[in-house]
Amino acid sequence: MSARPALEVLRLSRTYRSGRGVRAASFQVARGEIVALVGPNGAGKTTLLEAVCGLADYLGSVRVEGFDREQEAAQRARMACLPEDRDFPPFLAGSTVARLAERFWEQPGLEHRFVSEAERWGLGAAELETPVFALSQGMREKLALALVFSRTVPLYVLDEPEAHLDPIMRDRLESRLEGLRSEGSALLLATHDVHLATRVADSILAITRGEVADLGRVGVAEVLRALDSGS
Amino acid sequence: MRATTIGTFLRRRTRWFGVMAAWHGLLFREELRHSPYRSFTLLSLAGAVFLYFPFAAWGVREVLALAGEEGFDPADVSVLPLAYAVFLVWVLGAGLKGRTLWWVIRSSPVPRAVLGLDRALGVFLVALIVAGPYVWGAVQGADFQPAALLSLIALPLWLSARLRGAGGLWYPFMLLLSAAMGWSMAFLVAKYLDQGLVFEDYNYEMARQLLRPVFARLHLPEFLLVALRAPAAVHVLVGLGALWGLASTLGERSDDTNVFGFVGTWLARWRDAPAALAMSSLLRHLDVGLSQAVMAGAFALAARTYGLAALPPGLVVWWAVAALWWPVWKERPALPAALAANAPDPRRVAVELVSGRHRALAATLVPFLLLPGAGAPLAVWVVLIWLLQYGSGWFAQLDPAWLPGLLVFALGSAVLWFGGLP
Repeated sequence: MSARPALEVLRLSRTYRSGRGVRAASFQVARGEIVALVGPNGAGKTTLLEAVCGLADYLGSVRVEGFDREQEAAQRARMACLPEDRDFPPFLAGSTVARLAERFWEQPGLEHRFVSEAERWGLGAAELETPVFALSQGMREKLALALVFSRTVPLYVLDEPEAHLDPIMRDRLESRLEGLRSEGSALLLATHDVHLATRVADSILAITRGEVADLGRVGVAEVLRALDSGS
Repeated sequence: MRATTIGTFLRRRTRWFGVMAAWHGLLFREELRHSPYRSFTLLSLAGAVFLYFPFAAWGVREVLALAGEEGFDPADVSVLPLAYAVFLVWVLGAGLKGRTLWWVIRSSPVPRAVLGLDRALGVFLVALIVAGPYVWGAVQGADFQPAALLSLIALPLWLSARLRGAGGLWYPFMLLLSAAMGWSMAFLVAKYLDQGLVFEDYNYEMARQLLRPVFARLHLPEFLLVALRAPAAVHVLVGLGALWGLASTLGERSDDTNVFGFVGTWLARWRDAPAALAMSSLLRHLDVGLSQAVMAGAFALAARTYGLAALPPGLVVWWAVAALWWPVWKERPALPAALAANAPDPRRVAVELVSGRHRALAATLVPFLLLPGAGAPLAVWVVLIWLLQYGSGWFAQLDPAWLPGLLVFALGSAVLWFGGLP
C-alpha cells in the first residue's frame, strides 16, 4: 500500500451567494479505506464531492494520488466519480452509453468490463439494448453504478450510490464497496443511509452547515448525535 | 367590396403601432433593469430601431401612394408586401431580444403571462409569414396545393411546441389557444384581402363555414366535396385533427419518448457513439425540430409555387433538414454529467462530439439523395459535411455556441443554391 493518500483535501472551500457551501474542509482517504460523508439535506455533501471531482471551482487543494488540479487529466484518470446528476440521454441504450464512456474515459476494454459489471447488477443483454427512457429509475441507477465500477482506479467518489436501489441491490452495493476496498481502492461516498455508512466505512465525516468534522469509526447513535448537534 | 378611407386606415394602424411601440418599450425597459446582458440588450434595441425605421418609412410611402384616390381599398396588392415587411421586422426585433427575455420573465415584477404574450405573438407572426404565400395564392385563385395543407398543419404544431412552457394541465389548453390564434389570423388575412375589412363578423363567417358541411351535409362524400371546395374549412378541420393527434401523441415530454422507442433501439446498435449521441439529442428535440422543418420546407415550397423565388429542390431539402437540426446545433454539444465527470480531456470530448454531429447530419441527408432533381448537388454537400468533421477542432472553439450551426447552414445553402442553378 502506498504511503501517499489516494485523496488529500486541504482547506477546500466553495460557498454560494446564499452563504451555503463548504468551508475549509480537510481530510484524507487512504488506499484500502472507505470514508463516508453524512449530513442533512443542504449541508454541502454534493458541493464537496463536485469540487473533489473537478466539476466545480473551489478554493484550497485537492490531490489525487499526489496530482492536483493543475494536472487535471492525471487526476481524472485516477478517480471514478458518480455525480448527483447521472441522467443519461433518453434515446440511447446502456451499451451505447458504455461505448461513449470507453471512448471518452480513455479506458480501452471498458465496454467488455461494463457488460460483466452490469450482470452483477442484474442488467442483462436485453436491458443494455433498451433505450434509457424505457428503464425504471432503479435500473438507470444500476446502469450508472455498472459504468462507474467498470473503471479500475485508485479512488472512487460516489454521491449517494444507494439511491433508488432495492434492498437486495443495496446489499450487493455493500459487498461491492467492501470488495473494492479489499482490492486496495480508496472510496469516498456521500450517503443518507447512516446504517450503511457505519457498517462499511472506516471513518465517517459529518458535514453540517458546510463544516466537516471527522468522527472516526463510530456507531449510528454517535453519528445522529453529531448531526443533530451541528444542525 | 367595401372600401375604407385612408384616414380610417391610418388611424387604426397608428393606434396599433402605438400599442406595439409601448409594448416593446416596456419590454426593453424591463430588460435593461433586470437582464445581465445589458450591452446585448442595447445592441438589440439599436438593431430593432435600425430595422424598423426603413420599413416603417416604406410602409408610410406605400400608404401615401394609395392616398391619391378618394377611398382606399385594402385588398390592393401593395398591402401584402407592406404587411410582410412589418411582420418580418417585428419578428426580427422579437428574435433579437428573445435572447434575454427569459431573464425578464424570471426577475421582472410584471406578470409573466403579460411578458410571455410578446414572445407568443412573435412566434405567431413567424407562422403567419409562412402561411402568407398560401393565403395569398388562395385569394388569387391559385389551385389548392397539398403543400399549403402541410404548412397550415405545421403552424399550430410549431406554435404549440414553442408555447409548451405552460406544461401540465395547461398544455392542451395552450395548444388549442395557439391553434385558435393561428387559424383566426389565417382567416382574417384571407378575408381581409378578399372582401375588405371583416373585423366585425369574421367569427361568424368562420363558424358558418365550419359548421355548414358538418350539419347541413352529413353525407360523407358531399361533406368531403364541400370541404375540398372550401379550403378554409379543410384547414380548420385538418388543423384541429392535427392538434388532437399532437396533443394525444406527445402530451407531456416525458411521455413522448415512447413514440420513438424503436429509434432508440436502433441507435443502440450504432457503433458510432458520438453520432448516436447527436441523433439522440435530435430525437429529444424532435417536436420543435420537426415542426420547424415542415415549416421551413413548406415556406420554400410556397416560394417556388407562387414564384417568389426559384429555389433549387436540394436547397428546399437542406432548409428543412437544417431546421430539423437547429434545436441541437444551436447548443454546444456536451456529454451527460456522469460521463463528463470522468473524462480526462474535455477538449477532446468537445471536438469529437462536434465531429459526431457532422456525421449524424450527413446521415440524415442521405435518404434525400434519391429525391428527383436534388441528387447531385445534395450528394456533393453530404460529402462536404462528411469532410467538415475533420475541421471539428475549429468548429468546437467557435463562440457563441450557435455559430458552428449557422456556418454549416450558410455553407450548405450556398453550395445547394449555386449547385442547383440551371
